[in-house]
Amino acid sequence: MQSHNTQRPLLPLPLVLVTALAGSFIRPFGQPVQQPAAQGYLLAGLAAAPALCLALCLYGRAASSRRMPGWFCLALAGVLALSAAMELLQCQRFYNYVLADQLSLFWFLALALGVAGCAAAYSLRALNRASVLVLALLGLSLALLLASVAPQVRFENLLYPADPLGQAGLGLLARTLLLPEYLLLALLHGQKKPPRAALYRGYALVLGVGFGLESLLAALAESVLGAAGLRQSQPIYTIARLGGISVFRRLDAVHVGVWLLLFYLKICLYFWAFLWLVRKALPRVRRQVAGLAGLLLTLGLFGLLRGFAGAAGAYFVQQGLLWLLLISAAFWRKQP
Amino acid sequence: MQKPLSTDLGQNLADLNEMFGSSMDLYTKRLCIQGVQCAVCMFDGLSSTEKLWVILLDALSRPEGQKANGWQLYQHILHGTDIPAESGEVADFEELVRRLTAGMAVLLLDGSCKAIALSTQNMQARSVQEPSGEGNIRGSREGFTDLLRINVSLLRRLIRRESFAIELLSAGERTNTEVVLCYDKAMARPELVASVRQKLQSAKLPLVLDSGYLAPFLQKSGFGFFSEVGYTERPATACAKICEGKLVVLVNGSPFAMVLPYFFTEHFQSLDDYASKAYFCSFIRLLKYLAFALAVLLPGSFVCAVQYTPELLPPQLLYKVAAAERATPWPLFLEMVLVILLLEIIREAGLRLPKPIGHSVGLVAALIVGDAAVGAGILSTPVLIIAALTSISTFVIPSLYEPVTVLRILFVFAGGMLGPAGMVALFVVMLFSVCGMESFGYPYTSPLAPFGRGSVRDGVLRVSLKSLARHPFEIGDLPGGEGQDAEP
Repeated sequence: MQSHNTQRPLLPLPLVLVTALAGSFIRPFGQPVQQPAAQGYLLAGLAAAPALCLALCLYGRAASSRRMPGWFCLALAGVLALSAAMELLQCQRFYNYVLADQLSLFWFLALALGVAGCAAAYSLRALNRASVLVLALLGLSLALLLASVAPQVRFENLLYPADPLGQAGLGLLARTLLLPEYLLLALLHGQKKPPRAALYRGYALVLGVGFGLESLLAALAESVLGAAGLRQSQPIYTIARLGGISVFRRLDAVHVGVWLLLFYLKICLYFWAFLWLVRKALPRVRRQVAGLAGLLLTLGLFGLLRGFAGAAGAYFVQQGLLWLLLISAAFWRKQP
Repeated sequence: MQKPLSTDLGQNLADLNEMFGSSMDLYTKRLCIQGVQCAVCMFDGLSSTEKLWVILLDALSRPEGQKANGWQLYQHILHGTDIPAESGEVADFEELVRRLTAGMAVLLLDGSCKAIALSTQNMQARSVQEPSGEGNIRGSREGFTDLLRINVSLLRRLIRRESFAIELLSAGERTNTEVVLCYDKAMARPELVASVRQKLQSAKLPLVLDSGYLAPFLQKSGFGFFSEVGYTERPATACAKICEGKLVVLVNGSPFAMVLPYFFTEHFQSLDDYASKAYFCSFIRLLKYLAFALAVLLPGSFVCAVQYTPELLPPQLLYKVAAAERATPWPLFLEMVLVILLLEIIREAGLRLPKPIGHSVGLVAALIVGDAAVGAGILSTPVLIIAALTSISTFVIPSLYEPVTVLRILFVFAGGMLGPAGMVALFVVMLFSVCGMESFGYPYTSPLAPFGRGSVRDGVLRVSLKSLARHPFEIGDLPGGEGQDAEP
């Protein structure tokens, strides 16, 4: 007697999880808030995560029962292009920061956008499956990182802030970081009306794992580096550099390779979603034309950000637009 | 060629001679059976004259009365005697040719528009032997042969169920090669069977000499490093796949059975896995995955590490490698590509050379590559060691030899010219290529991605046979198949 597996993946959870975790390893240069792990991540994270989860669940509930307007698609596509440009800039700086033999800007962009263009030829299911394997590699990388720095962990290095309440508010604000992939999670499904419970569980999982991992990494960095960790622009990379096992004293290249995987997948998701949103809003536009438009827009924004050194400003613009788009879901027309 | 047979024996023989020209192996003999002029036709070498004459002597010696015409004799032979004639009628030349080329002898009767086919096959074929590939420590030693009927009998011997179906098809416009589709009706999904049947029937090929000719017609169009169909030389393996609800395609003249759908994890499985203990089997499978990773990534990673991230290597190893590289004239990645290509040339030469002089390939390779080139400083020892280790790792999973060889070279170029960013970018593209494949609707990376229990039960690892026996694996257990959820 044949048995048929009736379970089908509804939401691209692994893909969103992978892209959301990318920011935990490759940090933006010039972070706005530097806080001890106990406060910045554990305390603020425990408050920020539920608040963010609630906001996203409400957005998801609205998005699943209302019809997505065309202007929203185009606006979100624009934000994705901006986010991709920011990620490209951030990762290019990180890559040149960690490697003595730097890669030229042309080749870095060619590789990143080439991979993103390649991803556009595949289905979302393919990207989702790839992210499952990348998550497995990330797990191995984290295990290796923990094993390599374990001898250098000193719990007495963990700091307690002098002014806990004063900085908690700033911490809460900094941790309530809205990522474009959070909005995409409620939109990228294969059904007219996805089960809301699955969506809520998805958000809880993504945010829980994200905040948990950030807290763990922050605590690890602080326990290894102590107060010096607060001055590091790339604390996770720094502790990866310090870790070693047996004769292998420098394993950071292995970890950087895995983090690059996360970065590439993030760019791929943004580009794939950009094409999807543009063609949803403008069905008559050909795929190649939409792809070219996305490429040019991303490169243009990248050049702008690079030229004007306005990465911090772009961050606020991105967050502002994302929050506006999230709130706007409440005003969409209801589906018949 | 739907031309019907004539009632005139002479006309039929003339048409047959005209069709086959002056083929020296076409044997025809006129004879008289019970007063009716007949002619027996067969191909010498495909049919046995001894078997034929045993059957015909029996017919010739019967004391029953003379028949008035060929039609009466035809009816008498088919329904009134126990002569082992084929039940299907031969009414046109297309069928006549098909029977003759299948090794049967055909009896033409004057006055009858139909002929009688007699089972007198006696084809020379390779006997059932142990297959050259798919080595096993334990398990069956039988392998498929080139003859389709023998291969079918090997399967039928192992699956003794009424639901085991074998459908006969034909492929190749110039060869009319027999193709057989084998499946278990109770386990294989009807949509899958119908889809494969339709694809096989619509495959337009001038000739089919191997099961591999049909593979592109069964896969989705577009380039891919990996194949959505698998091959096996062992009847036991083919039976195991049929019992999972999969389909097996056999082609006359090919000892390789095609299995579909086929998944990535199956390349790392073998018949021996189920003859050893679960912990050892799991260890060997993990070793195979490690060997695959080494085969694809090691040369590129080595080149990338030495050129871009030398701090990754332990200092003593780095000193040795640096000293060796300083002595050679080539850039490291070019040297690695050169050695890989040289090893491929040696492998191909060893494969194509006649056996009596085949051993000299190894000697030449060892002397020239292993000794003279290193001694002259043209190639370095670390590169040779890496290339040799990679080659040995590739032989652990021979079914993936083709994609591994090409990917290995691409990774060397990516790592040597673009560093870690290039290596990771190519890795992502390879990942998309594998994860984007679907074998007849089922994800090619099942049960790894989407992650399922199967990856622990009998994928990367293997649980005990008792646990496996409680819920045997079926293809229906996997997500996917025809008509899965639509993309957003």
